Order: sequence, then structure tokens, then C-alpha cells
Amino acid sequence: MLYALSLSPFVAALLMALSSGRDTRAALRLSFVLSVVIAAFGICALVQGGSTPVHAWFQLWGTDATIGFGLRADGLSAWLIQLVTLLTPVALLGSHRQVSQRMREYAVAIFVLSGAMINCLLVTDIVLFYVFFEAMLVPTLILVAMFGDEQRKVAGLQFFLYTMFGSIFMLVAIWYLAVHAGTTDLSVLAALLNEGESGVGDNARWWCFLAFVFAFSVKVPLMPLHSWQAPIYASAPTGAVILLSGAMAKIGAYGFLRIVLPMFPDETIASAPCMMIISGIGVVVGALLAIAQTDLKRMLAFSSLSHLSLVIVGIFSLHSAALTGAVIQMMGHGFAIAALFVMVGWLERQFGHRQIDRLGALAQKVPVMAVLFVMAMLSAVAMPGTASFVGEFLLLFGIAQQFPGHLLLVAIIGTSVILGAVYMLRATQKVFYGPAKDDFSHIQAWYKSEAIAVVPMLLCSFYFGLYATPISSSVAEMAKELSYKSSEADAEAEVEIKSPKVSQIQQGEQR
Amino acid sequence: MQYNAYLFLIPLFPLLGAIINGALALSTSQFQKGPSEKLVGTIAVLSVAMSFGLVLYFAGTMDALFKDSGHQLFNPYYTQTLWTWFSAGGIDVNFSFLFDRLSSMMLMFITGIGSLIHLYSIGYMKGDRGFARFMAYMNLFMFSMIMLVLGGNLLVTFLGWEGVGLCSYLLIGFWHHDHLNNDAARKAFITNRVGDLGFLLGTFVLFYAMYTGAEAGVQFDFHGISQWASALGLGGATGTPIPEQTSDLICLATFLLFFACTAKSAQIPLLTWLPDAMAGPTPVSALIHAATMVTAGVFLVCRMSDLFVLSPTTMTIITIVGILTALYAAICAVFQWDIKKVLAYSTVSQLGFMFMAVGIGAFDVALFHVFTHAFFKATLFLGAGSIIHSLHHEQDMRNMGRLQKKMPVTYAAMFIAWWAICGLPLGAGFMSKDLILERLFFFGGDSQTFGIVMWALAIIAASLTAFYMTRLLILTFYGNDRVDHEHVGPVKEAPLVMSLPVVILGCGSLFAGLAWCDSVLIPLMKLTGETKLVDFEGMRWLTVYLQPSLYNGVLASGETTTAYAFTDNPLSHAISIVILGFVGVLFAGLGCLLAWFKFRHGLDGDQRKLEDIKGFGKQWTFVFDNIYELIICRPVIFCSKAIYKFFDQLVLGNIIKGIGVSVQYIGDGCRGLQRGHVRISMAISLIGILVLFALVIFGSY
Repeated sequence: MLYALSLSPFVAALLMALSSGRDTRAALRLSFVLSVVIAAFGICALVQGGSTPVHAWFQLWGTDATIGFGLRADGLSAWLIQLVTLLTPVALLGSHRQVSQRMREYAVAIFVLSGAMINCLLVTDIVLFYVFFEAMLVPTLILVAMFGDEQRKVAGLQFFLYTMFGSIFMLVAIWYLAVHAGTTDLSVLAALLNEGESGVGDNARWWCFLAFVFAFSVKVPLMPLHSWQAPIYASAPTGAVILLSGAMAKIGAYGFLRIVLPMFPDETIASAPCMMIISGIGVVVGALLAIAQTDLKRMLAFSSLSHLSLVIVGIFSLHSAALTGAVIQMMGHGFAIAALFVMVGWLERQFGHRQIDRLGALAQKVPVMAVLFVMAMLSAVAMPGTASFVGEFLLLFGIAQQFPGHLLLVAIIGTSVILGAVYMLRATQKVFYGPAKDDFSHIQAWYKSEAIAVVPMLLCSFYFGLYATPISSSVAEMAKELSYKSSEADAEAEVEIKSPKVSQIQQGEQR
Repeated sequence: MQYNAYLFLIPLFPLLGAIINGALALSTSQFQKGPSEKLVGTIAVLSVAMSFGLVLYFAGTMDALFKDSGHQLFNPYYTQTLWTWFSAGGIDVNFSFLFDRLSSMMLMFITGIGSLIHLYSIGYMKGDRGFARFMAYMNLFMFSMIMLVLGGNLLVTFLGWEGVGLCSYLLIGFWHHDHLNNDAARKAFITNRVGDLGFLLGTFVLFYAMYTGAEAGVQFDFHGISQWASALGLGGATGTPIPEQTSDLICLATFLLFFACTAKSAQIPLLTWLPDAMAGPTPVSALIHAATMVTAGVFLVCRMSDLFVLSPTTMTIITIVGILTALYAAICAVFQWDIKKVLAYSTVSQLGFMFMAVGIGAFDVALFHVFTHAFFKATLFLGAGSIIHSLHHEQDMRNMGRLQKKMPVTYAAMFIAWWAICGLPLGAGFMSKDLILERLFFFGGDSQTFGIVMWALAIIAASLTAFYMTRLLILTFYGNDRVDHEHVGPVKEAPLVMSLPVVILGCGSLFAGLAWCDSVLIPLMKLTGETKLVDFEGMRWLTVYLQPSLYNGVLASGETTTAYAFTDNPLSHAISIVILGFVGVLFAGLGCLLAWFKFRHGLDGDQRKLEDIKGFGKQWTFVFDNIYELIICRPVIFCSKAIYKFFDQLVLGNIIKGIGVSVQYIGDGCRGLQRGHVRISMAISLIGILVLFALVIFGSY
């Protein structure tokens, strides 16, 4: 099943490439069916889980390491794969109007992109991880170059160079590890590094750690490495943005969880305060930057920056609740931001611009979309009952439990919850309510495919928001393994509060 | 004792109502005409009324269980756990409900008054194109409010807590074509969010306090919290003091939770949203901003009363905040011309009274005032709504007057409510407010100074209440006729569907005080020598009913834990209680008389123009708005713009550009080498990569 999941996007891409390019509706339908099939594979993989045996492939030149092709879907990767496979049909539906005549090419690129992401999450080998990690860039760039707006050249180039530059160091680090440890298998490598038998010196470990952190920080992105994000979100076609913000950014966070934390636990602990402060600044500044935006897509880009920085703060707090929350938040944010981008894409298509101040009173014209937008907005601002709430609650909860003495910092990070409400509400009200500013008699009130794309996202968000146990229980083990309780916290735990049991029982009876 | 029951049915009906009405609203949104108002209205009212019926049913069976046992300390309550919401890192959150005496009492008036207000809305919103949408929002609000009260743990309550905030946002901004309404809605939501952050942080701290060192098995739900807290309290009383760290944490947690309450219940410092919230349709103001949602803060503190009493600091803060808010809002109300704003500030002020009571540990008294206030304030708001409706959305009291003949039913109901809120003898407000005053007076045991000072301030606030309410009554119903008849035409009484709920609620505010009237009536009877009629238990039904769910200072063992213990008023106090009552009435009467002498002739033309809302009155009223504008809104916007312009665009942007440009220059310099030959440049980059790898591989040997 995992093989099927791994291969299916590429097969789908091939099928699309072979199909007729002239009939765009047929191409849309075919691609949609294929993406649903892939999503079905994804659900099967989630239910079944497990991993495949590792097939030795070839020896990496100049090292003792053999690259092995093995796949694994555990709690962490399975849920993120779920996210990718669910977002693929959304990405296809979300911008089929925008790409119009070249639906076939568009679908091919989307499938290749999602294939690279799925495999990036599935593989157990660090070199293959890197290959797919980089492979994501190519279809993204093609998508931006073919379907982006007028600013696409600069944005695409900046994006490409930035992320390439970020991962070059990771490549060197991988190479270095492969040479010294003699293996490229993720879990073996982690075990060797933890036992100190990898033959990697302390200094080298730090350099490798920093290389990985840098690569993933660019991908997430963290402050101040975020400059590529807003332009590319603004210029890329809707579908690409959905996958970029909904899924690709999460692969950066996945990298932290899968590679950085298990392989470099000591370095992680040592650098945790620093990382938390950097990403914590990102949380607040990202939200502030979002307030300053007048462009809907750029606003969403900065809101992503804020939300994902919070995920990274949670990851580096190393509290198991926060780690669980990180996964749930990634899912919740994926659902919400995808739904929002679909609708913003539609707006952009109808009006030819995305300026918040120039829109207004759309609720009269498109009432259903207004309702959907408000719901998606609520998911984004972490209203209880949505998946983002569970995620943000657990993240903040974990951070607060791990650092009880620094409640003020939690409060400062928590202001992003308020600021989030500020910019999201303002945007919603200006676009959908208030007096009409633009003439919108010409726009189509027909958005069936957008609604089909948005509704499942919202349902997922509400479902997991009210019943997050499936996610939280399947990532619990991972969270426990990666979590870390400082000795200080242990000492505090020993301070017992003497509460006489007898009185409790008495009290219980009285009540 | 814990029993299982299908509690989920209570919130289910309003939720279904919201979904059906929402679907109806959406499906007809493209047409000129909305769905049938009769159908929508019936669904809306019935769904809430069915919840009310269920609440009565559950309360009845709970009471039957209690009576069957025949045991005084036997405390039956219902719970239901639907599923595990999430569990991670030591925190297990169930989707659970808790239906005990406290929630049943709250739910009774929430669903009861709620269904009446829904009924009223049918008349008020008649002909509005968004009728179905409005009803959907109202039902959604009822759902959230029920979740808030019925929640079995902090998280489920928080779901309702944010839910009512959301519905408040939706309903304030209901007429969303006007951006002023939207601004008010947004302000309400964001202010509430500030409080919500406090709620979350309080939850975190509380969890930390409970689980560092506490023995395993303590549940993190309301029941577990009060067990844990009362065990600590008992330990404190019997010689095992609470560890300093824990008591500090409890202080912090309760303070943060109270901070959340100040947002929801519009107390200082987060009160500014409530007066603005009057932009919504009047039934909304009655339902959300008077009777139910704003009392959520009082409810939360009462729900966790066992915990709050462990922190005397927080309790003192609550009292002081309560008294300051009561005074401030009462003064503000005096300067308002908008009839709804007067009532809004009056609500804030009355909530201050409730928090005063909470702060001195008189939780049952606070809830009693919540109960009576819900009746008379709903009556006042709905009555005001009827007036506004009849005058075609005229809200300015300067354009009213002499309406008592034209709207006799509304007038009668509002007169009763006025009697109640002023605290004139035997009204509902007299019973509850004088109980608060009395408790304040007797608070503090040995050193009564604090209590007496508080009492004195409270009585000033009470007489201000009487003043501005009398002013409202005179300006609307008496004095000279200032209605713009050219515009409005002849003023008619509101239709039956509107006046019926007003009348029922008016009767409610007449009799709600009887739920707990012993402290007033018994001493009076004693004085008059009447002893036969005294049914002691019946006269203090409310407090007896609530006792098992609230902290009452007396544990099962008969020991009192802290200073917040009130023994029943010994009848030896009878004289002083009667005197206190008289003083209260005296001050209230004084306020009424002052207003009467000032406004009995109504307003003449000059006054109407001169006393526009400006100058002192306005500054004073909106001082909090100005402060927030100055210290929060502007800096945030400034920071956000500055960071974007300076840091993001200028600094980072130029760094990136600089790198790009320098790479380009290097590239230009090297062009000679490459001459644009793809093959050569490929070779160079390949060699480069190989060299890099070679360095890595061999450099380490």
C-alpha cells in the first residue's frame, strides 16, 4: 500500500501527460478523480500504517553508506501525508479557472509536486529525503513560471535561490554524516548519533545541527528568513499556494521533528531557548506584519508565518503536549489556510486584484461564500471547535507547562491569538461586509468547484477540532520519545502537595 | 453522587435550530424574499423552549433523587461524557457536561428568558430581510451559552465562552452595511479575545498547580478542581498549610481567570465594548448584553468558588474592581441620552454589584442578583426595544417623552422593572441588592472597615442607579412630548408577540425576589410580631438550592475554612438589618427624588440642544476608549507599519537585494571566463561541487 501511495502521484502525472490537452474540462475531471484515488491511498496508509522493508539501492560514492529505499508511515508522517493528499484535489479545483486552457500541464505539475512531498514524508533514508525535499522546488517553480502573476519572475527566482541556498548546507551535512557514520538510514543514524558511536565530533555535530536547522528554517520559514514567502504566495497560482502554505511549509517542521530532534537531542536542548526566542519573535512580528498588509494573499502569508513560528516554538519547548499540538496545529492550519486561499483565489480571479480596501459588501452577492469564508476565518483564528484551537491550545499549554516561570513570555506569544483576530476580522469585514466599494455586478455568483474544495476542508477542521483524539493518540508515542523534561522540572515535581485523602473523600460525599 | 443522563440534548436543540435556520437563510439568500418568518420563528422559539423543558425535566428528576434519599448532604448531579476531545502530555480533555444545582439554576433562566426573547424577536425583526439569519445566530448563541454553563471542564466551557463571543460579534454586526456596526462588533470580539487569553493562561497555571506534585487521579474538570481546592482549603484550616508555591500559583491562576471574566462581564478594565455593543438589534442587547452572556463571568467564578476562596488577594481585587466598575458605570449612565446606552452602562454597573458579592465570598448572593437582574434588565431592554420599534428606530431619549398613555403595557412592565432595579421596597432588586449591601456591611469579621467602606461606596452607586433609572423613566414616559410626529406618525403599542414577553418578564421581575427573601421579610415579621407565617426554608429557596454546588465556607466536618464563611443572619441582627434596609431604600429614594425634581417637566428646546453628548460627559464616559486608543491601538498599528516598512521592506529587502546585486556583479566579472558557454559553466559548477565534497570527505581524515 505504501508503494502504491508513493508511486501513485507520479503515475497520475504520467496519465495526465498522456491525456488530451485540448479538453480542459475532461482534464479537470480526470485529474480530480486521480487525486481522490491518491487521497484514498493516503487514508489506507494512515489506517494501515507500518513500514516497508528497506531495499538496498546503491552505495553512496566515497562512503560506506548504502542508500536504502524504504517507506514508513507512522503517526507523524501519516497525518501529514493525509494533509498533502487532501490538499491535492483542493489545489486542482481551487485554480482551474485561473489556468483555464492549460489544465493538463497544471495538473501534471501539481501531481509531481504532491508526489515529491508525499515521498519526502515517506522515505526512511536521509539522502532520499533530501532528493525529494529539493525535488519539490522544480514543479513549484514551473507552476509559478507558467501560471503566476506579473511579478512571478522575481518572486520565483527569489524563492528558488533562497530555498536552494538553505538546503545546500543540509546537503553538505548529510554528506558529512554519511561519510562518518556509514549509514543514511534515518533511525539508524539517529541511534548512532545518540549513542555517540557515529564518529562525528562534538563540533561537527553542532555544524551539522545548524545546517539542518538553517535548511528547515528557510522552508518553514522562520523570521528573519521569510523574505521569499510573501512574494511567492502573492504571485503563485492559487493551487500552488495551497500546497506551498498548506503542506510544503509543514515539511520544514516535519524536518525538525524527524531529523533535528531525534538526531541532535543535546544540541536541540542547548539551543532550545535561542530557537524559541527567535521563532517566538516570529509569532508576534508575523502577526504584526499581517496587520500592516493590504493585499489579502500577503496577509495570509504573514499569518502563516506567525502560525508556523508558533509550531516551531512548540517543537523546541520539547513538551509532549506541545509536540502533539504542533502536529495538530499543522493539520488545522493546513485546512484553514487552504480554504482561505481557494476563496481568495476566486476573488482575485473575479476582480483582478486582492486589495482589502477596494472590496466590500460581497456578502450580498455571494452569501454562501461569505459564510464559508467566515468559517475558514474562524478556523484560522483558532476558535474552539476547530482543529487549530486544539493545536494552539496544546502548543501554548505545553510551552507553559515546560517553562512555568516564564508565563509572561507565553502571554506575549499568546498575543498573536488576539492580533490574529484583529487582522482576520478586519479583512473579513472589509471584503464581505460594510458598504460596497467596487462595482460587482459583473462577477459570477457561481463557485461550485470552489465550494466543493472548501467544504471538506472546513469539515475536517471542525471534525478534528471536536474530536482530536485520532491525531493526538497516534502521535503520542512520537511526542513522548521526543519530549524532554528538564531536571529542574523534575525537582519541582518532587515538591509534593500534601492533600489529606480523607478530607477529599468527605468532600466527595458531601457533594 | 454522580448520575448519567442524556445532557447533550439540551444544547442539541438550539444547535439544530441554528443549522436549520441557517440553511433556510442561505438557501433563500439569492431571492428577494426570505423564508417564511412564521416557520423560522417557530423553529427558533421551539428549539429554545424545548431546551427549557429539558432543563426543567432534569432539574425535577435531580430534585426527586435528592428528596428520595432523604439525606441532607446527599448531592445528586448529572454528568455525561461524550468522547475524549484530545489527550496529550498529561492533559486529558473529555467532551463532558456537568448538570448540578448551579448549572440547572443558570440554565433555567437562560433558556427560559431566552425563549421569551426569541418570541419577542419575531415581532421586533418582522420584515427584516435577514430574519432567518438573525434567528440562526440567536439559536447559535443559545447553543454556545448552554455549552458554557453546562461544560464539565474548563475547555468545554471555553468552547461556549468563545462561542458566545462569536455570536455576540455576529449579532452586533448584524446590520453589517454600516461600518460603525462592524467596528463595534469587531471591538467586542477583540476585547473578548484579550480576556480569552487570560482564560487560557489561567487554565495553564491552574493545571500546573494541580499536577506538580498532586497525587495522580485528580481529574482536571470542575468537579476535580473543586475537590482539590477544598481539600487544600481544609488542609489550610486544620494545620497543614498550603505550600507557598501552590498558593502563589492559585493566586495567579484565579487572577488570570478573573481577568477573563472582566472581558466577558464588561468590568474595568475591559468594559468598553459593551456600550458599543448596543449597535446590535435590541433583542440581542436584551439576551446577550443584559441577561445571559455578560453574567458568564460571575458564573465562572461561582463555578470555581472553592478555588477562588483560596486566594484572598484575588478576592479583594474582585471586590474592588466590582465596586469601581459599579460606580464608574453608574456615573457614565447619568450622562447618556441614548436609551440603550443608559441600560448598557446600567448593566455594567449591576455586574459590578455582582462581582462585589463574589469578591466577599457571597457567591449565592451574587447568583441571586444575576437571577433577578436577568428578569428586570431583560424587561427594561425589551421595553426599550418596544419603544424604539414604535418610534421607528429612534433611540435618543431627547426625542421621546409622554409615552405612558400611548404604550400602557410597555409602560406598566417597565415601571415594575424600574421599581425593581432602583431597589425600592419589595421589588426583586431590593431583595438581591440589599442582600449584597448587607453582606458587604458585615464582611470582614473583626476589622469591618473594609466592608463598611465598600458598603458606603456601593450605596452611592445604588442611589446613582435610582437616579439614572428615574431619569430614563421620566424622559421616556413622562414630561413633555418631544416625539417627532411628522416622522414617526402616531405612536402605537407594540404588537402582542412583543408585549407578551415583556409582560411575562415584568411579572418575573416582580416575583423573582421571592426566591430568597428571608433576610428582609423575617426581621420585618419579627418586628411586627408575626411568627406563624414564617416558612424559613421556602423563603430562602435559592441559597438552599445552590448550597451543594457552591463554596459555602462550611465543610462536611462542620469546620469553616477561611474568612469567607457566612453563617445565617442571626435574628439578633434583625434590627441592624432592618436599619440597613431602610438606609438602602432611603438612598434609592433620594436618587429617585433628585431625578424627579430635575427632569419632571421633561426637557425644553434649549436644553435639548445644549445638553448634547459632548464635553465633560463624553470625555468622562469614554475615557477608557481614549486610553486604549492611545496606549494600545495606535502603538500596535504603528509597530506593525514600522516593522513592515522598516524591517521587512527596507532592511531585509535590501539585504536580499544586496546579495542579489553582488552576485550579479561577480557574475559579470566572471563573464569573461565563461563567455556564456553553457558547457564550460556546467563543468565549473560540477568541479565546484566535487571540490566541496572532496573537502568534506578528505578534510576530515
